[in-house]
Amino acid sequence: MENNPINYIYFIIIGMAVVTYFSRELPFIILKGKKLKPAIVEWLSYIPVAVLAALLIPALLTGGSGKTIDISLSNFYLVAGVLTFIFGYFVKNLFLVIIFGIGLLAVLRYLY
Amino acid sequence: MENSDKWNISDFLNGFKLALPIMAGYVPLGFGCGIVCAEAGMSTFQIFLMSFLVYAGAGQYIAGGMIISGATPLSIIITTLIVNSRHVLYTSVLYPYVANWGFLKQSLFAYQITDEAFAVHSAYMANNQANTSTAFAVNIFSHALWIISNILGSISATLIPDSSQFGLDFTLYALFIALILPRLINIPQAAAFITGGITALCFYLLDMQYAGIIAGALLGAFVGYFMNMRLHHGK
Repeated sequence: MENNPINYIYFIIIGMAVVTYFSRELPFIILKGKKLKPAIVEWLSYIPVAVLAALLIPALLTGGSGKTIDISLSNFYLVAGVLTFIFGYFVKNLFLVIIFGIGLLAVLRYLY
Repeated sequence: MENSDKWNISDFLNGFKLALPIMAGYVPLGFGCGIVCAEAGMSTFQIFLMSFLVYAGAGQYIAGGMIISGATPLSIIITTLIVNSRHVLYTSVLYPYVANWGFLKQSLFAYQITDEAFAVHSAYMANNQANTSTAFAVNIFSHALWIISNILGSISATLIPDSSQFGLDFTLYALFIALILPRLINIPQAAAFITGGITALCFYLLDMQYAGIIAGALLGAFVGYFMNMRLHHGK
């Protein structure tokens, strides 16, 4: 494989596609036709918020892709994130919240 | 239930609308990914194929980086499995909403589930019934933009636009905030949010970012679940 760089890449692509699809499809295979217990459904209902927090919080507190926590006004990701939360609490429109977040970060970067 | 879920153009357009923030976020993300993969020596066709077949942002970025560093195919594939295993959680959560779909339809739906698609689906399906046209429109439009921006990134690897000049790199985080917010008024959900975030942060600082996403999700869900039991069923 290694001495043929073209096959090397295609082998990687196919392998990645298989393991990624496997991760996505597995629950549908295991759960096929089954009705989940209410306790499981209840537990699963907390996954979306928990997983989005897991994606969001490290990014905000480290300023995007930094490796240390930066809690200061110079961390624009954190400032924009907190203000977007506050804005979204009052304005419940999904698109306005997103536009506010993007616009705010752009303005912070432009001004400072 | 099946009757109300026929192919419908206005539901499909609703899915397009729901996909818009994902599409906007995928432009800078896909562009960057295309550039990294092009630098790894992949052809535009290979980058198209990877975006089409694998369709996982973090996984593709990492693969590009690992190819550059000369990693073996097996180590790249195993890393991809570890990084992308979090998808198991996504289709598990969505399963109750699409349990009445046929297996083939579920399997096709599973193929295009990403962090962002999951975020939108889980929020939408919790408030509305799962709708075939809407669900597949969200997936198809998001995936299309992912593929297009990867290709654009690969053919203009020299022409790097500084997307950070605008705030576009923040799009997906803003989307997550907007989707999380309505749930946070519920105390167990807020507890799941805080636990998930802190857990993931600890793992992140230990350089175990992807294990942290799974650990944060599982631990956060347990804390939310038990918090709810305490609140509603006494101690």
